[in-house]
Amino acid sequence: MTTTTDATTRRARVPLSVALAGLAVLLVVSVVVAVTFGPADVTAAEAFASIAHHLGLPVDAPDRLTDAIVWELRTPRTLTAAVVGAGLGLAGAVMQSLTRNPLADPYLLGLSSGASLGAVAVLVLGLAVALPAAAFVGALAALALSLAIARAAGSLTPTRMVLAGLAVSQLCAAATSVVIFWTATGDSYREIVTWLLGSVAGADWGSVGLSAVALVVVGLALLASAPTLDAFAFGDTAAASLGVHVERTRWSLLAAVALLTGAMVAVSGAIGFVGLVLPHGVRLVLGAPHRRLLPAVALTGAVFLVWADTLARTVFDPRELPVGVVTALVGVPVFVVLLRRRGSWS
Amino acid sequence: MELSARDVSWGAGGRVIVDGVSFAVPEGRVTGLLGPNGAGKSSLLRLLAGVAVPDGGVVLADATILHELPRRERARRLALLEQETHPSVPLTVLDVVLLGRIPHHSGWGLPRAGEESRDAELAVRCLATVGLGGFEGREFATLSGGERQRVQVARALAQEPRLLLLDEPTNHLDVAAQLSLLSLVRSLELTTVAALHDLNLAASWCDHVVVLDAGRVVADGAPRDVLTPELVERVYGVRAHVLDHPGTGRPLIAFDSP
Repeated sequence: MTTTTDATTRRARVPLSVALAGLAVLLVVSVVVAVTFGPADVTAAEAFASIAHHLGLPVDAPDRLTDAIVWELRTPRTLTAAVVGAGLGLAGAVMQSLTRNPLADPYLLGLSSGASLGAVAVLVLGLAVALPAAAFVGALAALALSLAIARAAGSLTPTRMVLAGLAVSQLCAAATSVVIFWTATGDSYREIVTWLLGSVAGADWGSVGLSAVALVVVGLALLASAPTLDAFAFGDTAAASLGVHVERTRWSLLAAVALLTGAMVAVSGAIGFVGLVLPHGVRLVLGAPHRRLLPAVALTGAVFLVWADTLARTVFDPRELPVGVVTALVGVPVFVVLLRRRGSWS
Repeated sequence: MELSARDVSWGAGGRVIVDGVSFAVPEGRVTGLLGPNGAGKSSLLRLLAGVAVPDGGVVLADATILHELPRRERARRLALLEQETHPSVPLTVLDVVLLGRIPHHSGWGLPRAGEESRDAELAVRCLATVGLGGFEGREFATLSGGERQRVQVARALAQEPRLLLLDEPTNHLDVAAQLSLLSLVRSLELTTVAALHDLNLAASWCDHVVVLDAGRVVADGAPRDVLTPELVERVYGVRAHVLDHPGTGRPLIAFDSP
């Protein structure tokens, strides 16, 4: 308390419009540049030409092979990474606010373990269901179970939510292990691990569409709820005294975050650390009020995951790392630095 | 604003915590809510703030039933200061004061034109009122306990309420901070209800006191009439003497060792 320096007590804030414009430009540049990386040589000009051509601009497409690599493989993959990064950043920020828990992430209520169980069931048991659909259903089933457990204990308090989510996560993880243990063979095992660690390797235009629709619809609803989310900063009673219907708001925002996270998990598996770390970083730089935080964390998440995925598919070329491994490898040191910078954060 | 409790009861976990409480908050005055731990002070404040809904009886605000008012309308009339609380995220002092503007907005969507700058101006004025001009950009978590409570008073003022409810606002504050906070509250000239632990603070700063014991009102009146040795012994089980403060002439309570 006595040794706080001016730098920690007084934060100069970057103007929001400048920050958002900067991040938006960075995102567009990142996507175009990321598309040029990969086993086949593609120049930025070719990447730009291919994308612009398909967007209907009067630009000639490059040769057919290059065009297919850019437009059919790398662009949907990069865009999926961007959309998933944005979605996970948003979901994490809202989950942390709703539970008042800095360690909350989008998967808090058993969403990722439920999705994993659904996906593994498809991969191993050969069920005739699309993998994203199974993952989505698994995520929502786990969420419903968590909420039912939390609700059975009384009103929906943050602590009950966290504990119920933990219980359901453990249950789903155990069930997943049982399924893998009994049935997985070498090939499917590798596929399962890749999926569990999170990856956008299989992304196509369908994944972009599914995740983008979820991001836009839920993202706008969350953005519109920004003042309500702010009201939770000092807890449920404070929120209620500011005129917020606490239970109803928590239920509806949880449902929104669950839909968003479910859609993200369905296309990419459970990519860790994006939704946990990025919201803290953005709060430190731009401030915690949600009108500032939410759009900024979405853009930051998008840029971050585009580069994380680019690293994941190029560093050990021709082999790929699951992007979840890269986000953890980058995310953990960043998290440690954030913790050190905020000594007063307890 | 007229606020009164009519035969209000409320319980949790099968236990009755507030048991048939009736009293009217005197307008324009500072009322102290006294009573031992567990007497139901905080619960009664939550009921008066409309944050909890009575199981029986009603809280009336200007002759309307409080929990039937729209929530944001209620939050524009009544502001509640809880016992010391911590934000879950890093907020600046200005961010905290601006929370008080939430009930004045539609609750959905983006701010209307000019709203943000008007809110910021009002927040800066509220901070000046509580003696924290220039603190806008400071991080809330780094302030002292007394400063934090003042910021919360500024947040409450930003709600532009007609009645202020304070739950043990002087908890964890040193003597100087306690006195300066209560003198600030008096200077606001708002109808105020404050749950207090310290009988001497109540005796010197409140116009009116209400004493709760086991969820019931056991005394209601001016501090001089209510805070008698008999009442202190009956409610707190402590023998006490009521003296006159040599400076202010207000009641001063001295306790015997048990």
